[in-house]
Amino acid sequence: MFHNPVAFVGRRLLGWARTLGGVVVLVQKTVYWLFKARPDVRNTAIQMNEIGVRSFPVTSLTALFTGMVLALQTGYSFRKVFNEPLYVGTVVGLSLLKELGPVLTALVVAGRVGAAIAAELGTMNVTEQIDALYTLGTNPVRYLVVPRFLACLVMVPLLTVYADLIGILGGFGIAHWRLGIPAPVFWDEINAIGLEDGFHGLIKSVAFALIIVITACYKGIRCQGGAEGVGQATTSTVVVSMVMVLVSDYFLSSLLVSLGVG
Amino acid sequence: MIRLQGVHKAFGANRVLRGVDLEIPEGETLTIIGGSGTGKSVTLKLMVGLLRPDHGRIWVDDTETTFLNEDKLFEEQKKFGFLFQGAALFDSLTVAENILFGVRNLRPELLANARGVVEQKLGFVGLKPEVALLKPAELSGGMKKRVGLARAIAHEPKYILYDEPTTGLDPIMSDVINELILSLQERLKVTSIVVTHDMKSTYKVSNRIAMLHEGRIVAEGTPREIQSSENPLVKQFITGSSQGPIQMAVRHA
Ligand SMILES: Nc1ncnc2c1ncn2[C@@H]1O[C@H](COP(=O)(O)OP(=O)(O)O)[C@@H](O)[C@H]1O
Ligand SMILES: [Mg+2]
Repeated sequence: MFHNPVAFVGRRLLGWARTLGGVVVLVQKTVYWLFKARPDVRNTAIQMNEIGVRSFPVTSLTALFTGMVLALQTGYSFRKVFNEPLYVGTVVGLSLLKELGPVLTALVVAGRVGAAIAAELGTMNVTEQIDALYTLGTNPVRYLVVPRFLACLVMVPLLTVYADLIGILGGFGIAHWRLGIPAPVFWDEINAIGLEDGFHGLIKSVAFALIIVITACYKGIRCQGGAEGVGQATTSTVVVSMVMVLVSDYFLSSLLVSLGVG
Repeated sequence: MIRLQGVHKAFGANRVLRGVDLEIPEGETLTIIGGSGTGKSVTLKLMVGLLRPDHGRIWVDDTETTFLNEDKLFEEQKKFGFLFQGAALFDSLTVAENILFGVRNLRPELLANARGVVEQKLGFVGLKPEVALLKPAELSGGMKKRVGLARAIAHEPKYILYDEPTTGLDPIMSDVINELILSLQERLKVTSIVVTHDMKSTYKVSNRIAMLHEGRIVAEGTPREIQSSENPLVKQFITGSSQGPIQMAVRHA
């Protein structure tokens, strides 16, 4: 690797190009099977439960404390500047709806669900269960990827809306009982937030769901090399999808803002 | 009949198959022998279309499957039952659901008597009907292989591919599996391709033996011919000697 930097860079570029090609093919097959055959209802329901319902507790906890700390920090910081805790509702509401709700939910899902999907599909791959699906007349993309894809696409935005609500409630609790902000003041500020700010967050959460589920399915289905390979696929799914969520968040936000959404 | 002609398959720089020619006529049991990592499993997967060859051509009956699209390949895949090395049972499904999995997709007409299918196939492989409700995690290695076999034959395929059916089993269970392979051959008149490095099993089940070495078929013949072969590669392999032309890497570089 050190004697020939050109070859090293070339190999890296080829590797990336191959990965990108593989991802595109997987997405194309997923979309094809999504429309070609009726999705497997049973599997989709199982995945919705696994991805959505079972992520509720950890999402709730994350959102609740994030809302609380946001209210606390804004309240005390603004009190220093203005001598009064102003705009706590606005700051809490906007931060949660536009940024923290979608991003924190995505990070929680990437850690919890992305890892689980990669580990499950990876194990199925190294134990030849994915090959077995083929030989028994079932397309693995249809049977394994489509249900997870649908479940993520539906459940991640729902979780995000839920996280927004819980976070705002947490923020309200602190604003009201700790900072002494009257309830009507807080809720008037929340009500003043435009619908497009909510859309801004929701659109991003759909994009994050896509990033997570595609990364996890790709890594799982491509996983090689026994138990060690499954471990690597799982770790790299979490790392790659978290980084991609955070990086894409910036670009998506700036795109949405320039389009006038939020 | 299955026919492979000049089949090449590489994974990156690893050139696994370098021109394999094989023909398996109807009703025959062909055993492919060869060391670990010589590409025996890859050869089986090429036959069913799980992998595509880089060069060369593959026929199943009168259809060339080399470049078939997925829908047409699916029709050919119905003809195959595949027993995977680790049985590859679906962990989340019961034994009965595993057995019916292929039937549901490939032979839905048999589902009218789903229970009967499960009991009959379990009977074939010498398992009691009670096993049907267990999950794969509750089965021993030998039972997994047998359930895997029951699943592979449930849609009544014409060709059965066995990937190391006796590897990892004790000698008695190995013999039970060998007997099963023989009885399926007699009762169902199927064509079988067995991949193994277990010579005892090879002699017992095969009509014909082919040896894979360095990406090619280096010897082919009846069990008798193979046993008396003068080919040094074959001699070394069937006697299981570390001395000879086949050099196994003791340590990978
Ligand atoms: N899907 C795959 N991707 C990359 N390499 C593979 C794949 N399948 C098999 N190989 C490689 O091909 C070679 C032959 O494998 P295999 O056919 O499983 O050997 P065996 O004769 O023991 O069954 C091995 O070196 C293996 O690493
Ligand atoms: Mg093998």
